[in-house]
Amino acid sequence: MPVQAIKSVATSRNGVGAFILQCRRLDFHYCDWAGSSRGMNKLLTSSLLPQQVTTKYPATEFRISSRPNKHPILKAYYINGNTKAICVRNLEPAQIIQKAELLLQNSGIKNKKIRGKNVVSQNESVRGIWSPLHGGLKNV
Amino acid sequence: MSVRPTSRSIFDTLSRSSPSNHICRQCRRTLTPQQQRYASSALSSNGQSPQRTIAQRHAIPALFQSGKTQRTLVSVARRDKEEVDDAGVTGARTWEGLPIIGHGGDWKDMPETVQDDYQSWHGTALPTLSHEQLTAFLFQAIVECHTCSELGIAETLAAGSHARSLLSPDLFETATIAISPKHTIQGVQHPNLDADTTEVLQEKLQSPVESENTQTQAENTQIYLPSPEQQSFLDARIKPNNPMTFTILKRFSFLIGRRIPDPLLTTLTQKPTNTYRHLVTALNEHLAPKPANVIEKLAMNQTLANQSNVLVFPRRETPVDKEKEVGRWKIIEEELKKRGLPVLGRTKVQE
Repeated sequence: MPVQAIKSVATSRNGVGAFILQCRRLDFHYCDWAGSSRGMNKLLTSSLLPQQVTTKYPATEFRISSRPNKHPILKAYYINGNTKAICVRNLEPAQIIQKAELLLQNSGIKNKKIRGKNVVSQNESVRGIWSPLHGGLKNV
Repeated sequence: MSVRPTSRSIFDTLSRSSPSNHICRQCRRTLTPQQQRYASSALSSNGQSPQRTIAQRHAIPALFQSGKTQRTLVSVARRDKEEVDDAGVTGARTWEGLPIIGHGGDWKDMPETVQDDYQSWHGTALPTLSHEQLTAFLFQAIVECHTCSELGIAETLAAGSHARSLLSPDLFETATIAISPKHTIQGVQHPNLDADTTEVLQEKLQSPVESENTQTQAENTQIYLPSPEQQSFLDARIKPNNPMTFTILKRFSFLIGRRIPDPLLTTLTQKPTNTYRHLVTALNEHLAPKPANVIEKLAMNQTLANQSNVLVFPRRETPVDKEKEVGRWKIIEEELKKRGLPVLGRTKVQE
């Protein structure tokens, strides 16, 4: 009986065929009174937000609501159920847009510490997994 | 020759030159050194200050003035007490029924002065003016200014500060503003202007501004709205070099009760094709109330709200809103009521 290769089914990968943005919702919280919200309020009332964020990501829901007497924050909700929030106190509108981009393009996976030695890849090795029964057999 | 240390001599000079700065903490009066000494000794002997009137508190006892000892003071006090008891007079133990002299030492206890009745002009909300109202006032201003100019009293009008309309409403109805082929205001045609009206107008202008005139025409609701034919003056160009333009703008400013900002006028007069319609539009935008918060600003600009993926909340998003969104709030509310628990907030636990 000849040796048969292991059957494998193509796994779905985001971006192969279709790409689904992982961030499903982004909340903009601001305060009308506090000075730390000056940049956020400026961003919300300017044309920057519709031009650079909301029209660019039509698949994501954007919510704007006040959070009185609190620092302004961006809160992102992801498909995997995770949430990530960034405090944007005293930031300028352009800086807040950078933070919003960071959250929007994020996968939503919990942050991990990447160590230098280990190579992390989702792709299998080209040579395959080593097996004692295959290849390089020695006849003694 | 004895030499005193420098520091000591300076201290002496300072102590001699500076007066006593002791101020009573209750009535804020400056005390003399003698009063100060007595006040400090009275406090130290009793441990706490007794309840006395200001006059009693700051009175310098005769014994202190004569320089007698503390022992003599005690004996005299005992003798006074015996005398009072003999007379059948008992001292007050509470403050009930005693006359209150002065105030409690706080600013809020002080009687009101003239300055307290002052009402600031800053921040008082003026009534908003619509585009039609501004057009009506501008029409009135032009008609009045040109009428006075024809009568030779334009300078009197420009110098005055009458805030109410000078002409009767029937004169405005029949008045027509003539526009030249160069699109400038040529004059005003008055079919009903007679000698009596002229005299009345002159009297009104020469009379001093009465107290009722402090209320501007803008605050008065009765204004004459010009007909569409009469509104043709809006297409006339503003001529900044014409002295009549200044008179019209000043009169217009008095009628509406607001100053026309210089930057707005400069912007308008820089372009020669700008008309009075531009003035009214720019002024209407300038006088519109400013949005107080972000929501009002967003309501004015619908660009963001019109997008399908954007949701703007007029207030804070509460946990109840989150439950309502997923349709869970009805069940939560029902179950809480069933258990006799408060739907919102907490109940006090009775011990």
